Amino acid sequence: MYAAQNPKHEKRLVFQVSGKLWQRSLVMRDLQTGSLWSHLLGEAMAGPLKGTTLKPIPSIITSWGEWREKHPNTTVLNLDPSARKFDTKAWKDRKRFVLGIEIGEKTKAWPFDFLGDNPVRIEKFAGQELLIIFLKESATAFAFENKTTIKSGQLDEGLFVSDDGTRWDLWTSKAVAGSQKGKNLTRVYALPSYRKAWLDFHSGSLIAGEEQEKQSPDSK
Amino acid sequence: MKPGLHFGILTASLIGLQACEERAFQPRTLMKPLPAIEDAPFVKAGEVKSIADRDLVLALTLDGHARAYPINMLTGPRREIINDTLGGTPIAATW
Repeated sequence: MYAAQNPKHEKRLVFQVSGKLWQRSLVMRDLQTGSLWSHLLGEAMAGPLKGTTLKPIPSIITSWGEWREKHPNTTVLNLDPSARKFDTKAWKDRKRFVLGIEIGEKTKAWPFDFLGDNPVRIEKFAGQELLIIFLKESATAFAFENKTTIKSGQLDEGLFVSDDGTRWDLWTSKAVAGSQKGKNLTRVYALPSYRKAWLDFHSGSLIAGEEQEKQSPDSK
Repeated sequence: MKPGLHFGILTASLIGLQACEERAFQPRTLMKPLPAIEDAPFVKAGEVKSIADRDLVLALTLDGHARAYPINMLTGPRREIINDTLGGTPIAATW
């Protein structure tokens, strides 16, 4: 999910599927300049806008039921389905999916099977304190920057309860009860994707829970 | 110059070249560009057809507006990017 404009092209960019693949992943083309964009990197790889990037917008992949319940006023795309396979059962093979985060030059992936076993992760990565929370049932992964004093916590009926007893609504990032009530967590851009696709693009990515979190070997 | 040294330099430069090429943008062309999707239809939660509660959606909120894109509607080359506007911000919905 990207903002369809950038400082080098402040007017809207309209994207089409270019018909090209790079490293087995979609290459987008914008109609305004004809530049070619890596879908996964959000960066123009060729054309007049080469070297510029699109700002990623935090988004989430969750179940329709969960989203609708949390956002009753939501609007929804209404096209004929072009597939049937993407429901919560698709995440069943959790090993195949990761939540990926890129901060500066550093990348790290949290496999969904790891998150299933570790639904609350508070860890430092690339100089940032991260709070990663995973709702197992809908396989929804949230990533926040932890600017608070939270050291640990657990899930309770869909809310995150931090060690100081504060209750956080993950969907709005807000503390709804407890000593930090009214405070906000800051969402971090995190990308759920196929593990293979993530590692194709970020061969030096750390992988949570694997090899003492050493760099993954660049196995191609 | 000794032949051995020469070979060493050549090998080093070839390895350097290879490392460069690995990052080089060399996409494969599979088909012609597909039409861009603009003005896709959106409806309120209660009005959407062909979606079950367990279906996955790509979703976001922006300036108080919530929007969901069922992944089953984004699948296939013709559907991979939805050009959209939410809360006044132009966005490219894709995952």
